[in-house]
Amino acid sequence: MNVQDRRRLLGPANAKPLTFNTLTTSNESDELKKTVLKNEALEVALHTGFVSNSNGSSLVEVKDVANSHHETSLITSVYGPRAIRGSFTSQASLNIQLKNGSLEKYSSSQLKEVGNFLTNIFKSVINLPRYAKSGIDIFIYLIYDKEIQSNEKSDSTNSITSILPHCITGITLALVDAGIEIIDMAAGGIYKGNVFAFIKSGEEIIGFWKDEGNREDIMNSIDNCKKQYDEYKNMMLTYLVDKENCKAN
Amino acid sequence: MSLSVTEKSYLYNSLSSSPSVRPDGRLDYQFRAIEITTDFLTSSNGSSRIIASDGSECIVSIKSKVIDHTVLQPDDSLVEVTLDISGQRDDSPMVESISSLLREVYSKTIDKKSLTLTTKYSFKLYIDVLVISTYSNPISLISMAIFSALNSTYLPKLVSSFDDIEVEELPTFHDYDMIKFDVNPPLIFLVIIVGNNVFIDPALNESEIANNSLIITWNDNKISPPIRSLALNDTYCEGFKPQLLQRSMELVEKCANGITAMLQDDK
Amino acid sequence: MDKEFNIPKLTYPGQLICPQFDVREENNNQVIYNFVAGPGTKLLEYNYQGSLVPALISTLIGYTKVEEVTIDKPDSEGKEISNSSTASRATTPLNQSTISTLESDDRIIKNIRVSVFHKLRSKADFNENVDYDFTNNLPKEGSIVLGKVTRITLQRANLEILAVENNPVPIDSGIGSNGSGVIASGGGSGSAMYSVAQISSDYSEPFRGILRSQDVRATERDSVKMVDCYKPGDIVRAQVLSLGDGTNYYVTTARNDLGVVFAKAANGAGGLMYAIDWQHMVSLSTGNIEKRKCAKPF
Repeated sequence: MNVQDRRRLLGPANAKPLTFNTLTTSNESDELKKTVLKNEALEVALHTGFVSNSNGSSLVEVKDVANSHHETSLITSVYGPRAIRGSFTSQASLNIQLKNGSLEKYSSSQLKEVGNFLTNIFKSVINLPRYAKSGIDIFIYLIYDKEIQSNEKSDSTNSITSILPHCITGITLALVDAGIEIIDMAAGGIYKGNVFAFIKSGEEIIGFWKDEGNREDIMNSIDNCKKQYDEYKNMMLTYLVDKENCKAN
Repeated sequence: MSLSVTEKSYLYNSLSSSPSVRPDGRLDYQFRAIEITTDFLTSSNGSSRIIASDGSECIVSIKSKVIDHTVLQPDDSLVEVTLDISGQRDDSPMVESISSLLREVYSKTIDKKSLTLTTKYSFKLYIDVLVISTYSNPISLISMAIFSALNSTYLPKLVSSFDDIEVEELPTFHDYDMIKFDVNPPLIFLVIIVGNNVFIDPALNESEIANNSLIITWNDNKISPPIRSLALNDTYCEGFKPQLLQRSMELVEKCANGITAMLQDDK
Repeated sequence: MDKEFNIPKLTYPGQLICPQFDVREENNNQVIYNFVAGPGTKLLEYNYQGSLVPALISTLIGYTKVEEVTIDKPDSEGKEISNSSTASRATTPLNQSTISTLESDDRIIKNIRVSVFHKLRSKADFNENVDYDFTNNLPKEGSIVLGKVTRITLQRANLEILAVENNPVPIDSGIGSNGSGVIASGGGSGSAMYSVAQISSDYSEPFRGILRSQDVRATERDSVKMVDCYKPGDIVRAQVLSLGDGTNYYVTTARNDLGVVFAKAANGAGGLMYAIDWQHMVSLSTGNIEKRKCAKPF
């Protein structure tokens, strides 16, 4: 060893490289107990409470069989309420962030805008005054978001708009899993490029997002979105009540 | 500005009552006074400075550059918007969402044909927005500033031939003559929802107690996407009834033409 | 009681539990039930047949618990109830006669608290009314917290808040001082269950508290020597005075049942110590006596 690397602390000459044992984890804990729910248009798989270091988490996998042949899968994790630095706040500050998965599909400013939009929605859903001096952080990881087969009739499949309803479902489930107080189950629907998010059995709109289409479509698509909201809400409730009953038995 | 709980409660009650009373006495469709100066930056193709009555101020500069549009990707835009809000970090949620929205609005609404020079070359517009001071959500103010800046934009006059696919030549321009850039830019309106009432152009104290708000784009004499809902505060956020969405859009339709005419007249 | 008012057992967020008021006729007396929102529920106004009806909704998925409570301020609360109930009645002329009976004394108001608990581990938790879940149990004014001393100065001690007791305990009863189901005399062993890692299951920092030297004890507040009362590492039972500033809660131990509950001898190097009076603790292995402001265990 004439050429010695002076910049690093090298081990003794007879040192062996460090190797790790292969991880042996029990299959049972790794297996995701997903609940798959189907209707004519959507195939939805829901699962909660699997991210062990977060307060609440959810996995939402959606396969749009009828319209857009679109497949989306995202993980939401909820951290908090936890102590925040800085000045006193009489209610929780909410922060929602999105992250691209393996497909770097959306620009960071787009993700920020959507995160901001979702934050705005959930400000009217979470019972924020309950959590003084604390922050609630929600992270959405877009694992997969792709068209299965291209379909010319499908609308707005390639824009970030199409994943918004799934994000809302994911966040609601994760919040319920975390035990953070929310005034109602929020869910949304998309129709002709209009995304509506509802609470209170569709009587109140908490979020509206439109990137394309005409003004005339807006009021007409409310009913369609409401239908999707009902479907999502029923799926979530079926899943959650089933899970709660399983735990009780 | 931070208001006390009682001040907010007073404002909320007066705005949500029927008939409603706005703190500055405006009607629901009335805007605050604005002052606009155009063409004050000599080095840019078009510029404007807008001052709202609450002291918010915004300047916009529009510059152009000749680019080869044959190498552009299909989703590349000929309009680029950059936004800087003083006192806000560039990566703060407010700046990021407003600039993402502006990009969305102006890249879709400004016709690529109006910027085409020759079969090969086009102008690319750079819209630089600087919000010098802001006391309420500046989105509406910014759109009015961009509107007047685009309407006062003059682009160099082309003297070389239009068809340059055969002859390899760069476009050349007249030394003095400029052509007015012919566009009909979109406007963005902010409508707040308080109780069962809707109001346009909220002042800061009104935003503090808004149950929800809508960003509505007005383009080509009609409401067009993008439309978003937006929470302007943390404490009064609530859902709204579908009729209020309808009424917000009707409110914008009621006053948008007047605003457009006012901004175009201003010379 | 939940059967009587048709209150669902398992609720999900947004589910209506019951209207705020209910009137029953019992032994010729009118009994007005006023449902109070406990943890996990919220009072919202619902539009029912054209009029706004206040109703309790669930905000969590979990099991409901219904119990009768007495409200400390009957003056303001009671007046409010009678006002709103007469106001709603006055709209219907048929009930004119009932207004007079309402205002007479044979009317009984019962306050019923409805709560929803999210994470139940066993039936015992339900009965003890102790919530392990820190999420919906953030420190409030008046709540009793368990904290670990991180740093002391002459003027104050800094705490990391480890746990919040679910119910503020009245001064005369020292029980429930551990925030967990098992109640043992002598401070109990329940609080040993809490570790910093359990509070928030992530890398964030815990809530902090400040204990000023004036708030250490109720008497001779000005001559408190901080080093004679607390040492870093001690587990202290304290009451929240105010939500404080952005970083710290202000807490006090100026009560007999507040103070050190666990301490280790020799700055943490020795074994557990036990209180012999309210100002001293003894280490069993060495017999050394150290000064602390101890909590009365009973």
